[in-house]
Amino acid sequence: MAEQSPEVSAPAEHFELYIRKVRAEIEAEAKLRRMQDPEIEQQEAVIDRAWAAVAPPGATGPVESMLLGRVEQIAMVDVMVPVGHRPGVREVKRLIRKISYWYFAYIASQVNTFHNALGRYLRSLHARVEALEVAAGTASLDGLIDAVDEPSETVAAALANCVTTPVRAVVLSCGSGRTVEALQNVCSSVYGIEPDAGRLLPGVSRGLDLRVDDPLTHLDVLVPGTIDAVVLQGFIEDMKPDAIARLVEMLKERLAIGGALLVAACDPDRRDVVDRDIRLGYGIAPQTWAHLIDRLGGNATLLPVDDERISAVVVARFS
Amino acid sequence: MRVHQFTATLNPRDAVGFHTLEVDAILRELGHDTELFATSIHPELRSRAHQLEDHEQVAPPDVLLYQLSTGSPVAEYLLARSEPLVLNYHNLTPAEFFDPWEPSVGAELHHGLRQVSRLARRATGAIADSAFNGAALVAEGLEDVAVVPVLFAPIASTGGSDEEIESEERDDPLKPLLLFVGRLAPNKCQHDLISTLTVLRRSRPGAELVLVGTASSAQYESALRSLAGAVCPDAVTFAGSVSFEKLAAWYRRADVFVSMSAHEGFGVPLVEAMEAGVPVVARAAGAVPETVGSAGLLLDGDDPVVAAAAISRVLDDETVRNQMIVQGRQRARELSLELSRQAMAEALSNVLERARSAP
Repeated sequence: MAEQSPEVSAPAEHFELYIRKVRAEIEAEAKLRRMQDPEIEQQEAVIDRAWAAVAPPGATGPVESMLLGRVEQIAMVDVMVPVGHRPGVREVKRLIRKISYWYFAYIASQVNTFHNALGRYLRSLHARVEALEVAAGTASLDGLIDAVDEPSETVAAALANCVTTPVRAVVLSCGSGRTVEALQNVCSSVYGIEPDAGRLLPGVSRGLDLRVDDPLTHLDVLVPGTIDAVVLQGFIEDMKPDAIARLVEMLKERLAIGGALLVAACDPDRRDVVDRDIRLGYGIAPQTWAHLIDRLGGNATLLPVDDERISAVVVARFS
Repeated sequence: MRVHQFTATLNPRDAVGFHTLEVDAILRELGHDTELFATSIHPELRSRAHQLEDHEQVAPPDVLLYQLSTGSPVAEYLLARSEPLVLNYHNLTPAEFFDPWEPSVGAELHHGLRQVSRLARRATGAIADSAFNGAALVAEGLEDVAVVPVLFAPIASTGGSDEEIESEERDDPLKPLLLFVGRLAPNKCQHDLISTLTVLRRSRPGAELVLVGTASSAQYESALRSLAGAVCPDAVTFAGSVSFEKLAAWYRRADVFVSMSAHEGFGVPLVEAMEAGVPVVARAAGAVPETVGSAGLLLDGDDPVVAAAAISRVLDDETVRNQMIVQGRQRARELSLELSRQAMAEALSNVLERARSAP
């Protein structure tokens, strides 16, 4: 197949956009395959186990249970030297083994006892951390909880109205890109970040610059001063107040001087019953956002919006 | 101007060796009086370079030029000298990749990276293979950094054919051949390629993977062979080091070039694949996005399901495939030896002149 030499002229000026759309479609396709074929997950587990069995600890990623198993497997020092098959070598090795066995067995016994104790300690530490995670309520609700609704067109328009000069903006957790689309007319450049490839596909098809990434990871690597406006929506409703405070602190460092932080957060009182119960303790009302931002050195204003979920958008600046 | 060029090892068949010899030729074309020094010189090149220990016996140069690609005693030697120093930086693999596999290599890399930091503070200017490499020097405080692609020999024009490689029946999208070229090293993540192949074989049981390249870590190679034997037996070929003719044959035979490498300072094989008309699917790590441009399908992470879906798309969608081939060839032309030589000549002229006039 590589021999094909298509001398057709590719639409070079559109190719970047085209390939971006293809990437989003591939991400969505992969997600769909995972959902439709549960055996894929089992197969991945088989691959991970096979790799963990041959790779040294520290090279197999954060799969704690496999890592602990591997630690236990290689922690035992075996003093029985393999003797080999060639007759002459075998006899020599046997002799060496006989002479050195008692001493090495004595050393190995102490090392093994130490490793055994260390392994058991790690296991107990692992169990205690797990218990702590459950007690702290940080266990994931993935699969039981619906994704946060994308802000309505009314909210998207209200956010766009907050931008008065052409700026470089990013919308975190942009969904299908409704807010990005509204901001396009007022920003010099704007793009969206969305972890769910399936959600952003319609927006990519409309030609919007939407990228698959985790919002917090994206913020983490954003070069300070390169963005004038950050819009927060969606994912912030799955964060606890202390995490939100840390997020605001991080944004203070990332925003350009005089930059704006725009927040479209659902008022927890306006959630439906199921959402309210499952998200209990997660997300904060616009008024609380304004309070937090003010306390963290910013200047926040609330702009009321006529919307079922979101009572006001928050506009904040940091001096 | 008298310019002395230094490199750790000079081998005609490795990328830095070829690049160093090209830079030597460019310096001569620019009219500079230049000599080449290395700690280890391949027998074929003994007439073209001097041993490092002979450097004290020649007249001192106006500028020192260092091909920096590894930790080496050359760095300590240059740091101790007083002439202006210019770096040509090819990147060092972060030690963390090797620490679990080859602690001694990891320690050498840690040492090498400390040398990079000291050299960047000492140098008056630098040329980096990529903006990604350049950023590492800028982060150490070096301001004068130009970006010029690595100089490498075009592979597509390599003649001859290899019946053993090219005789098999082709054009069956259910039996695609995936290719990766690069050292067997933890940062190249060939284990993720094997995972991807395993997932791909669910829908294309005839899919195969060829890994071209020697091992940087014997333990990593052994683990790769064990993994391949456990999850997709007989589907992975470890081709090892191959001749230029065989390499060209593998590119001609391949359906997709796949890279899951987590760290690349430039990625010569990516360009070779594009030059040979092989679509590239690659993890967007290190300098890969700037090398491939928009000609390849870049993946955000190491998810084998996403990588397998991308490969399937390239194999099944003729429009995507054809446009990637066209764009890839165009991108390879932009990085061709001829254009890169011109850019290197210009960058060298500027950086050497500034070095000579530096206080």
